[in-house]
Order: sequence, then structure tokens, then C-alpha cells
Amino acid sequence: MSTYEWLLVLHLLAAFCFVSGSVAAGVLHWLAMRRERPSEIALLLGLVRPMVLVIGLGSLGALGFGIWLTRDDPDGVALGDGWVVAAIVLWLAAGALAGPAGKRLRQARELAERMAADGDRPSETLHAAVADRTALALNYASFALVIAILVLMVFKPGAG
Amino acid sequence: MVAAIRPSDWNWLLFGHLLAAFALVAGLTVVTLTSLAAARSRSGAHGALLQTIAFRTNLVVVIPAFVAVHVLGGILAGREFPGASEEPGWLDTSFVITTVATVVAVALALLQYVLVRRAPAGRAGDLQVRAAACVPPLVLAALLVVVVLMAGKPA
Repeated sequence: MSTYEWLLVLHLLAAFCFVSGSVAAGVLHWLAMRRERPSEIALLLGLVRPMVLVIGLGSLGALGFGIWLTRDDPDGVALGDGWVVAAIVLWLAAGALAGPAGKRLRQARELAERMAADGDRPSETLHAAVADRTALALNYASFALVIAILVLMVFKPGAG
Repeated sequence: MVAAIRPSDWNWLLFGHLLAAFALVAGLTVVTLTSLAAARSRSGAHGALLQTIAFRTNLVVVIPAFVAVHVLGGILAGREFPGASEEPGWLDTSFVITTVATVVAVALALLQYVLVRRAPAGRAGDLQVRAAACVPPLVLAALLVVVVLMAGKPA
């Protein structure tokens, strides 16, 4: 396999870590929202923790290997192409939205862990923290941008 | 970059194939995490909850995504390589791995169903729980090999 093909493999593997990791984390968060006991919420949100590293590395890898690919793309794709620039801008925006959402989710997990150790009784405060509307809105918006990046990668609008 | 894998006009097919593949890996990741956590759990209630999540995710996300990946991948392969004899080795190998992985996922669902039924009564065997925890990471690893084959297209 050529260097270009290896870079493409790494770019795709990173994209899978980024996108599939985000979906998996979203599913676990959604499942946590449907539970009442703090210990169960803490358990499910605790499973999101290892995904944060996977998503972060995948996100950086997808961008880094993607930019590297443009250096010797056989189809003439360049870093300055409109759809490539748009994808990078969307990547930055997605990261900017996901950061604060992740912070709120971490606070909810820490609250769940404290409440689990303190009687493990269902709590409206915890439920509100796990189903925080701002965090949900930021996560949905970030995911929509990731899907938009995928659309750009597949359809390459404006490419020759 | 992704479209460079299959330089063709069938972008919608490729997009659907990719979405199904992303959903498949995401579903398998959830099944892997919950199955491993269930095997490690010392609480019967938590173990049962995690087994139930793993089973439902396998049934509702993983198996349908396997079918979608197969169908859309088959259509794409049929258009790109019209004659069966023209199909390259990497594509044949990918199809074989994905087919075996689909069968394993169905078998895993049956095992998970047994575990979910037995877990509340505390009758789930240790060996069954361990088997249910070991299989998902192996399927996930097999899928990553398929991703490498699909992207790298080794001669």
C-alpha cells in the first residue's frame, strides 16, 4: 500500500473513532436520562468516560490525516478547496459546541456519583442535570455539524 | 477524502453505506462497553441492566446495521465491479468477514437473550456472562480490519 492509501486508512479509522464514538456516547447519555436511580445514572455516564478519549483522538486524527491527504491527493484535492475549508470550519464549530456540553455532562456524572454514595435515592435535581437542555442542544447541534462534514466528504460539492 | 474510496457517481449509496457502518461501529461499541461492564459488575441489578442494554442495542442497532451495510455494500460492489469474476480480493475478504461477523452477532443476541431472562433470578452462568463479554470486542476488531481493507484496498 502507498503512503496515500495508509493515510486514507488512518483518516477513516480516526473518522470512525470520532463519529461512532460520539454516537455511542450519545446513546449512553440517552439511556442515562431514562434511569431514576443515581447509581444507574452514574454507571451509564461512567461508560461515556473512556469514549471521551476515543472521540478526542479520532477528531484530531480525522483532521490531521485529512489535511495530510490533501498534500498528495491523486484527484487534485487541495487544502484551499471550498468544501475542504468548509469541513475544517464545521470541525472547529462542532468541537466548540461539544466542549461545554461535555463539561455539563461530567458535572452531572459527578453529582450522580455523590448521590449514589449518599442513599441512592431518585432526585429531580439529578434528573434535571442529566437532561440539561443546554447540554442536549449543544450536543445535537455538534452532531448535526459532524453529519454535515460527512456530507461534504462524500459529495465534495464544487470539486472538479 | 472518504469519497476517494469509491470514485463514482453513486454518492447517495456511499453515504448510506457509510452511515450504516458508523451506526454499526457505534452500536458494537455500546454492546462492548456494557457487556464488559456487566461481566465486571458486582451488583446483580446493575449487571442485569447492562446485559439488557447490550441485548437491545445488538438487536435494534447492530444487527439491522449489519444488514444495511451488506445490502448497500453489495449494490455498490455490483455497480463498481459488474462481473463477479472482477471482484478484487480485498472486497471478497471484506464480505466474508462481515458475513461471519453478522452470524456471530445473531448468535450473540441469542446468548444475550438467555442471559437477560436468567439474570433477574441470578441464574446466569459465569461462563455465559464471560462469553457474552468476549465476543463483542472480537467482532469490533474484525470490523476495524474490514475498514482497513475497504480504505486501503491492498492488492
